[in-house]
Amino acid sequence: MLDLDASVMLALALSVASAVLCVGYGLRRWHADDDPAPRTPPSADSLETGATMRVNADGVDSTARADADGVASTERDGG
Amino acid sequence: MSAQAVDGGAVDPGVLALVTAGYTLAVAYLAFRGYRTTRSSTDYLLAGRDVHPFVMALSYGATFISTAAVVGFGGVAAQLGLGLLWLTFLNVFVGIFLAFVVLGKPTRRIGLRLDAHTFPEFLGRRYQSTFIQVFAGLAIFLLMPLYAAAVLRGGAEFLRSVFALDLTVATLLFASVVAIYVIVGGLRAVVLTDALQAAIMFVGMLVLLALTFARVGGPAAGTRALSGLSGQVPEALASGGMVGWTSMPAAGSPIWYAMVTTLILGVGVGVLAQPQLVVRFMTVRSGRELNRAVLVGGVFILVMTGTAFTVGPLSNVYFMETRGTLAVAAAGGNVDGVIPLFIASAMPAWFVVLFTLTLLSAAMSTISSQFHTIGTAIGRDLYERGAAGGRGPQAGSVVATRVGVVAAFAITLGLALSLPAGIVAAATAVFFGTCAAAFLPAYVGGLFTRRITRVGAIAGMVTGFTTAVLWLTFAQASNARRLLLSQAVFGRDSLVSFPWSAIDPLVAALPVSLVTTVVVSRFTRPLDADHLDRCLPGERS
Repeated sequence: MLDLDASVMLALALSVASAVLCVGYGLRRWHADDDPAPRTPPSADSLETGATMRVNADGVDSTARADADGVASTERDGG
Repeated sequence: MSAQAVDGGAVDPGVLALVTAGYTLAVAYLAFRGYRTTRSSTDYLLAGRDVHPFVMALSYGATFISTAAVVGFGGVAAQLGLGLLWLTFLNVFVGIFLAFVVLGKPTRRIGLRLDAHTFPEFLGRRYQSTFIQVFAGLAIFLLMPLYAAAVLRGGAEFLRSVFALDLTVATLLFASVVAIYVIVGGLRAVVLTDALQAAIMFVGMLVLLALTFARVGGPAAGTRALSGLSGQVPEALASGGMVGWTSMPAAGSPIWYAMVTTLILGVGVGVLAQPQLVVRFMTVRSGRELNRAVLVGGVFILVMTGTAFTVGPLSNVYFMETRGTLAVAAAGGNVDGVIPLFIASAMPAWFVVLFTLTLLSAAMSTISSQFHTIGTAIGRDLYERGAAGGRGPQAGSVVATRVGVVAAFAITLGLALSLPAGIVAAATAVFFGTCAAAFLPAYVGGLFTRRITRVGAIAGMVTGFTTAVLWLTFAQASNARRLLLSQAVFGRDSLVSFPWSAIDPLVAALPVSLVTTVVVSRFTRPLDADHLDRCLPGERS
């Protein structure tokens, strides 16, 4: 038995419980993609125009975005 | 109690040199791979946004955990006891779980929509403000070198003790190797080398924990022996509220305030607004990668900080048994010297070699990210967005950032060589706390609500940063004493009385920043609705 004060024992228990929570969450949500945002960034040239960003925000799929940006992004989106 | 009364075995310099050379070659190979696959500014600044989740988690963890955590906080734990395990809890729950699950996903999503490449750029684009980007870049440029210098100093001190090098030579050598691979390979090189370094750190710390328990007769006997040392608490600490190494300090005492507000809250909460960590969320492809990264990150941080904060206090048992003195006294009063001395004295020669690699990895992985972050702050945020007015050529980003990394190297090196001893943990806490006070309300507000206005975000950032710096300089006695300004101007270390003089800037400045952000936002014009739809499409005002 560890000879620790209650407050230190609680800190130790919470630390281990948090790590277990991380492992459990990671395993449970392993295949869940709960983040539906587009996965390919707008082209660098669009930084100031805003045009491409608006296209992305509207949820247009990667093919349309690739056309707009002139960047082939299919492979990256497949991941 | 069964701590062995023998010192650790002597390390064969040839073996140590050979292993270190092998490690350096492996780092060089990964840095070269990073360099070869770096073709755009997105590669250089965000590792192409396609980092494997485990690599990302290891990189996040290795960047988070530095020599400051192992040597600095390990030494502080030797002095103040196992109460520091509360920081382990916050590191895992707040620094990993909440950070990845709650903040990481919207950060990645919004960062991608706005094509942000740095943390200041993220804030600047979220609030459509060049001022915010430049201000955040400037804050990083001014503050992060101190943190980087503390980490560099911790690594160099250990190199000096193991290789018998001059401190200046050790510092220069160490910083140069890291700077070269950051300049050449950008964030791709940084995350790849981080992953290797994290793996070494994980093994090294696990073995350290096992060997330390073996030295003190196991967890139960070790904590019992440590508990039995409560009568040996030095008078200076006892009068400050310390009651032993297996208890928290007396509630409300100066040491309790220092431990809870600076070490536990300052670092435990401050981690949420760390620029070098936040960008990691933008390096993965999707939210699914963040889910997977949580798994690795939680275990990694538990082992890293849990080991450091356990071994530090238990080293008192070893030193009391073998030398009849407490750990800090055995290290000549320098808390940063406790862990290196314990390793050199109590551990077998083969472990000294492994731990050398562990500390090299811890320091290099953090410093590489710090150089990269300071470099991007100088190159992308201050030069391109500030001085060049956002009209610099896109390709120039990499060049400007590389020049920025060189500047970061020079500034950090100069600071590291001039820092006083025992500064590692304090410098880390200062950076974490100030970052949180300046950035956290605007950052978190920007992720979840449309109600924070540009003026509100600016007001909160400026007041948070200013309050934190003023608090450090004139209120928190431990730091104000080092800075000397309060003494020079007002003739005393702190302008406020206890307990305020013991409270960390985070605790004082974060509420100020938060209230300012909310109140000013209430009375100022909201951002353009189209822009808010782009950032937060799911939320309507």
